Amino acid sequence: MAISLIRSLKLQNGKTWALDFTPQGNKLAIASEDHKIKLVEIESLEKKQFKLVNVLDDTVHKKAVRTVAWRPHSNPPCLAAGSFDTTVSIWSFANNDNAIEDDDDDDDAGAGLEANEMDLMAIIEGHENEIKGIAWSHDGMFLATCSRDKSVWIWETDEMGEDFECVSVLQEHSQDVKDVTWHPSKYLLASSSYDDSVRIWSEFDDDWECVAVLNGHEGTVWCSDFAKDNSEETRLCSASDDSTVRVWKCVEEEPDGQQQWICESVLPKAHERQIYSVSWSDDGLIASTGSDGSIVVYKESAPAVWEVVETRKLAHTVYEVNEIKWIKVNGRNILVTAGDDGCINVWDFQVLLSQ
Amino acid sequence: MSTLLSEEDLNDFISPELACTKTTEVTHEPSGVDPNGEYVVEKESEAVSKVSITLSDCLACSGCITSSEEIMLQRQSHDVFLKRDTSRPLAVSIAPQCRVSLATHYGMTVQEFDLCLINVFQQRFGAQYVVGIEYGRIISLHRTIEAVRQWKAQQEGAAPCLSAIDPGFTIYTEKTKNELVPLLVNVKSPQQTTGHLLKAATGPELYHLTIQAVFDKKLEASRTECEAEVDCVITPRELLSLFAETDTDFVQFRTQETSLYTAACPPTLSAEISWSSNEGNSSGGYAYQYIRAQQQLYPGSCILELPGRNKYIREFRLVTDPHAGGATLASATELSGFRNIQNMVRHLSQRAHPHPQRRVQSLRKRRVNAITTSPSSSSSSFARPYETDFIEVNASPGGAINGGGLVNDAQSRRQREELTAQFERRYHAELSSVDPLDSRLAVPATPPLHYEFLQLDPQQQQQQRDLVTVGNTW
Repeated sequence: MAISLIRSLKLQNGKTWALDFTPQGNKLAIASEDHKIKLVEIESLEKKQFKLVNVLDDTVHKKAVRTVAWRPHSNPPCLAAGSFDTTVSIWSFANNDNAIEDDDDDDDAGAGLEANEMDLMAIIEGHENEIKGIAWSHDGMFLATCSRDKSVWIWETDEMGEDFECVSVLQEHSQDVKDVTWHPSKYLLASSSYDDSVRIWSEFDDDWECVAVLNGHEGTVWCSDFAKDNSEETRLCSASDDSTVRVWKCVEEEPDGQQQWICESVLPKAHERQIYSVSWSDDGLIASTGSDGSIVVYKESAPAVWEVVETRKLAHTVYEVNEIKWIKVNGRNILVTAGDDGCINVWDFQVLLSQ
Repeated sequence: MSTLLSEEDLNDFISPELACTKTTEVTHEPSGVDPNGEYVVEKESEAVSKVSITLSDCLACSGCITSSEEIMLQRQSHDVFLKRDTSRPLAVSIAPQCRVSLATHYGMTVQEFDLCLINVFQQRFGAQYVVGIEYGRIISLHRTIEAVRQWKAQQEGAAPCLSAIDPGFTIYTEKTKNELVPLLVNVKSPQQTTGHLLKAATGPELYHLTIQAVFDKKLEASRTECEAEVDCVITPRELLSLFAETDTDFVQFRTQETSLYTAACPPTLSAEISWSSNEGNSSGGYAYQYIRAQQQLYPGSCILELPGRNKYIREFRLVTDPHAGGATLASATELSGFRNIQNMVRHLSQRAHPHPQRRVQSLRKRRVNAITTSPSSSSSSFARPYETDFIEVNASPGGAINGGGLVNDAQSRRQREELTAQFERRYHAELSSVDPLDSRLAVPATPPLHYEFLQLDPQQQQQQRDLVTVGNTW
């Protein structure tokens, strides 16, 4: 068995919507239906030890927390969380090195947990409906947010994550925008929508513009993820209601900034229902999950030729799975999923080399 | 249904929401005990009562755009103009951005276009008057300067006041940021003021058609307190449809007869001023003219133009002679486009209602104390756009010269920006300029013309916010 369950972490009765891990890979932030953001530390993968180290102030969000993202290159680590209450909250670990006396009268609990205290740095308001997705650019300079209000917003922020200025409001999607994701090294943003398309956005002048529309899916596009292989090629995978995963490739950049993209592959069909989430690992594997509760891992056996290398059914028993992500822990890629059963499941995945 | 007003064309509007609360309203019979003593459960009545929507409903609801669009089509379209009571004398006014856009479309100079337009409306549609809107603008500018001065005198150190000349921004504020309504300057726009002047010169029976750059101007004219001044608003795009549907070959009316300007102007007004423009941005230059007016009070002071974080935001700052310290005497911001409006609104709302998170504030205060250096001097070279006396706001990026109603056949955003830049250049090059602060201008006296903004009490505001969260949560 190539996909094996390391641990299932039951966090609450309601849904777990999403998760993200710190760039160091040791701390997971979890977005859940109960309005809370939870922090789980991976104490030891070998011993299968995980610890819920903090539940962030649950009075901040008035509705489900739908999405979470750690800011890259941030010290102390900084977290953004998007909620159905239309706002995004920004959190930072309390900086204990700060020489300034803490005049707050609250007594923090044990010393070990104190290190996981997070301060609310900012609340970002502007969207008119539920936030569905958020993502930081590779350098942490921009935060993208998307919403049921059909728009994608790009925010520029300062080093502390306290001040956010909206630098663009992108309104070309005709429906609910489900997800946003950044290119791993460029200022290139992809947004997925209920209008069945993916749009690619790039900076121009002092604003942002749509440089490509990826049409082909026959249903809502729930999620997309860029390839992380550091090659010159720009590729993106996308997951849809039409129960397919597609890989897209940018084949030309025109002088006016517009990009030509083609659908390079439709991955072998392995899901029976909507695919909600897709993740591209740094060693070239794609993992998908969704409404049918299955985890599927695909490998590119030859350029643009993909095969299913593993399927795991009933990953969260009979429940739908909302998100899947590859995490690198101690140099090893593992998979983490968030399900409607209120669990976070951590999976071991061994690549079976064919030679 | 006019094909002109497709959803795409309504880009002057600021991000509408999905649901109209009014049309989905169903009358409920209350739960309780009926006269026979039997308990009845709440149920929907058989017939869903037919709902008619008014503009006030639209303003009070955080719902869709569709209903507003409906109103515009019912009351403000070229069809409505064609079906008007032709026994009423007709006056036509046109905003300067529309003249530039249409002159470009017809390959004419702005003057050639103006004369052709006067000729076509007189010959083909029997217009008595055809005028520009500069008188209305001068009056709006004067009243705005007065209002900002008053605001500054009464509210030293408080938030800036905001122009309400762009109806898209005004309606957005009333609908979704009602707590900022007290900041709006309630001086009516040149569109309305021009209507007042024309009707004052002729009589209330006059039919006033105005050609405007943005669709929201239709909503402005549909406000109860604005109905008397404007009968119909159309955009240049609709003007082309009007010509097409009436088989009017516009260029056939080309003429060199410059005396038409005077012939088509009410005797109480000067045609030269009416067809002019003024210094400042191409949307009226309210921020710049306010600073100029203040400069007249402080001999030796100078105006700094400070860039903001993008090209659609800048500050004008009046300072004492830099050699004498360069202290700030007055300041005004000009900003446009949705993102800049959003940033402004967040800054001003936060100032009005600081976030209740005690921890955030205490933390921030400590950090600020730790890093604070000397207070920034007024001669700093960057705009502080939310700390000025007055903010001139336009919903379209770049203002009315980029209005959604203009004829702009660009295919891409970049082409559109290029064409808009061309309009902007022609606007400043071809329109003659008057100084609205020149005391020798004979500007007719008018009573103050004010909007009556919709203001919600806090409970209604909360209800509006709650509406946002209904519906599907995926």
